[in-house]
Amino acid sequence: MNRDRMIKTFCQLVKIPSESPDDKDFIAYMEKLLSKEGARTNVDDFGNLIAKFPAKDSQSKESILFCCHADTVKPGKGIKPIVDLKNDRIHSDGTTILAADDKAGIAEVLEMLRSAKKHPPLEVVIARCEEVTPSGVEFLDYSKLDSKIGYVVDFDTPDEVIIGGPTYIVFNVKYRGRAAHAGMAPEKGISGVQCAAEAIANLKLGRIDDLSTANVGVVKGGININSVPETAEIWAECRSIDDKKACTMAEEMKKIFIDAAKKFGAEVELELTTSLKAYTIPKDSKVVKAAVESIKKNGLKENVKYTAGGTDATHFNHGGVQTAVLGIGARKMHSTEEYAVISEMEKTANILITLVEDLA
Amino acid sequence: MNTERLISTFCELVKIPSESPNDQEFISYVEKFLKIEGSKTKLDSYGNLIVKFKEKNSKNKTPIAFCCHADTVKPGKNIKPIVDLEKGIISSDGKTILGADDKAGIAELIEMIRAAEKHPPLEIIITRAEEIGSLGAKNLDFSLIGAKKAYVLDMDSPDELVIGEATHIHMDVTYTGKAAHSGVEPENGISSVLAAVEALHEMKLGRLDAESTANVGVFKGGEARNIIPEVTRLQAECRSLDHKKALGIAEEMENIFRKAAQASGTKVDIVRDIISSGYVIPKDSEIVQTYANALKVHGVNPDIKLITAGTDAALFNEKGISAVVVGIGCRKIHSKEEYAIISEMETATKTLVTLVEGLA
Repeated sequence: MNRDRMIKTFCQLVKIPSESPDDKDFIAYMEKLLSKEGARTNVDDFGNLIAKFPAKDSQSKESILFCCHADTVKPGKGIKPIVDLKNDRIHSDGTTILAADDKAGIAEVLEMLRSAKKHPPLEVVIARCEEVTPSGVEFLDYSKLDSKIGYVVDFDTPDEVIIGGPTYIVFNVKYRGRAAHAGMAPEKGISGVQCAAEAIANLKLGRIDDLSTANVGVVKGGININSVPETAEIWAECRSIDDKKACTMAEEMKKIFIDAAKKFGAEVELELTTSLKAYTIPKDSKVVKAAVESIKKNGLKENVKYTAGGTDATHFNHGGVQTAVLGIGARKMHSTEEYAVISEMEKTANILITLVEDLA
Repeated sequence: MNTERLISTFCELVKIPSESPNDQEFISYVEKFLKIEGSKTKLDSYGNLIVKFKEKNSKNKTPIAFCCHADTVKPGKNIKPIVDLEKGIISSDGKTILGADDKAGIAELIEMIRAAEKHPPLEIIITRAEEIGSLGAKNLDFSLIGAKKAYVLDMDSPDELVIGEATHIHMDVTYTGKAAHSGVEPENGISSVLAAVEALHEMKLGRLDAESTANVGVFKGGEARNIIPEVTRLQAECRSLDHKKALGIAEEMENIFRKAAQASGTKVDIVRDIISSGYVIPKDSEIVQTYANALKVHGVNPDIKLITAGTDAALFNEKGISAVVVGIGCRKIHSKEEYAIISEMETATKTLVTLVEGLA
C-alpha cells in the first residue's frame, strides 16, 4: 500500500466536481481510470459504472463487489484539498466540502486494486446520485452482476461493519383549515397550525427503541400574524430496522395526522412514501466474517452494527447481493468542516487489501 | 359621484402590489395621482403620505383628516380584479386577495374629493405597513397633521362605525433546541418544534371572550426532514378591549411559552410589542354623530360599536386626534375570497361626500 499514491489519487478525484445529480463527468473519468487498471467497463442506462476485474493469482470463481458513489453534496465545486501530514488530516479550504464522502472510499478501493498481490474476480461499481432520491443503484440491472456478496465503502471509520439498514417511510402532510381575521372573527376560522400542533403533540417521536426512530423535521404554517393560519405543512419520517415495526409506526402516525384534522374540521392531504426497505445480514455470514477477520488482522477491534441511515447497501441486498458497509476514515461529512483522517484512510486501504487477498 | 370612475380607480389601485412592508411603490403612485387633483403632498421620514387640500367653497378653516393604509396582506401580487356588474361585486381571480382592504377606502376618498362641491380643509393620510402592526401610523409624523378629528376607512360594511378598539399586542417567539441526525442519534437532539407545540397545545386561542382574542398566525420550524429541528419561530398576538386584560393575556401566553421551554430544555426568546393601546370615543361626540347622521341620509342605520381588531385609529387617538373607523364595502378580507360590494362602495362614498359638504 502506497500512502502517498493514495493521497495523490484522492486529491485528483475531489478536484473533479460531481454535485448530485451532475456526476456524469466524474463517472467518465472513473471509467478511463478503471480501464487503465485492467477492468472491462460498462456504463448502464442510468449512468452507473460497473468495472469487472478478472481474478489475480487466484482460482476463486466467486466474484466480490465493491461500491462507492460518484456524487457529492453541495457546495462541491472548486474543492481545494489541503494535505496536513503533521495533523494526520486532509481538509478543504473551508469554502467547500472535502468530498471524502465518498471519494476517500474510491481512493481506497483504487489503492486496494493497485496493491493487492492476489484477489478473486472483482466488480467495482461507481454509483450515481447516492445523495439524492432515487439513488442511482435503484436502477442497476442486478441480473447483470456476477457477485453474490459485496461491500459498500461509504461509512465513517475503518472499524465499522454495517450489517443492517432501516425501512424508511416519509410523510408529507398538508392541513387546510379556513382563514379569518384573527382580531375580528377568529371563531370563523379553522387553524391549520392548531391541527399540526395537535397531531405532533400526539405522535411518538425521537428514539422509539433500539431499532426505531421517528421525527418531525419541518413545520411550516401561516403567512400573516393577524390571520388565523389556514394552511400548515409537516415533513415527517419514521424508520426501523424491523420492517413490520416501521409499517406499524407509520399506520399509527397516519391515524394521528388524520384524527387531528377531524378534531378541528380541517382537510388533510397525506403523502406516504416508503423510501427504503429494511435488510439485515447474519453476523456469521461469509461477507461479515471476512470483513471482521480483516479488521482484526489490521489491529482494530471490529464494530459490527446496524445503521439508521440509508446506504446503497439496502438496494444491493434487495437485489440479491449480500452487502455490508465499511468505513472510509472521514468526519463531519456534508459540511464545509469535512476532513479525512490519513491514518484511517491507510487503515481502510489495508483492510480492503487483506480482505481480497484472504478471499483469493 | 361617478360609480364607473370609482370602480375604475379601485381596479387601477389593486393592480399595484403593496404586500407589507413593500408598499412604497404604491404610495408613490397614489402621491402622483393625488398631485393631479390640486393638492400639497408630502412624505414623512417613514414614507407615510400626507396630502392636504385647501377648503373648497367654504369659510371653514378647521381641517378634518381621513386615513387609509397602503399595504395589503399576502398573497397580493398580480391581482386581477373581476368586475361583475350583474352580481354587483368585484372579486379576484381566486389566486390572490383582492386588496379592497384597504384600497376600496382609498378609491372612495379619491371619488369623494372629485364629487364634493364644497368641503373644509382636508388632510388625506395614507399610512404604510398597517397589516404588520400599524408601523406606518406608529411612525407617522403627527406634527405634519393639523386636524384634531380623523376618520379611518378600514371596516367591512358602511353601517359599521367603530368608536373603540382593543389593545393589541404582538409576540415574536423563537425556540432554540439542538440539531441531531434523526435516525442515527435523535437522543442527542432537542426538538424546538416539540417545545412550540407543547406551548400551543396548552394555550387558549381564537375568541377568548366578547372583548378578547388570541392567535398564533405563523409557525416555522426545522430545516430538513432528517434533522431534529433546532430553531422554531412563532408569531403570536392577543387583543382585548380592556387594556389590563390584554396585558394579562399576553403575560399568560408568555408564561406558557416559557414553561414549555423549561419543560423541554430549549431556550426561548420572546419579543413583545404593544402595537396599540385601546380607546373609546363617547357615542354622543360630534365626530361620531356627524358621520352617523350622514349615514342616515343615505338610508343606512349606523351600527356603532367597539371591536377587538386593530386599526390605525388607535395611534391617532394615542396622539390626541379623535379618530373613529368607518366601513368601505368589502368582505372576507385577508383571504383569496375577498370581494367588494359595489353598492356599498357607492354608499360609503356618498356618505363621505355628505359628511364633508356638511362640514364646509
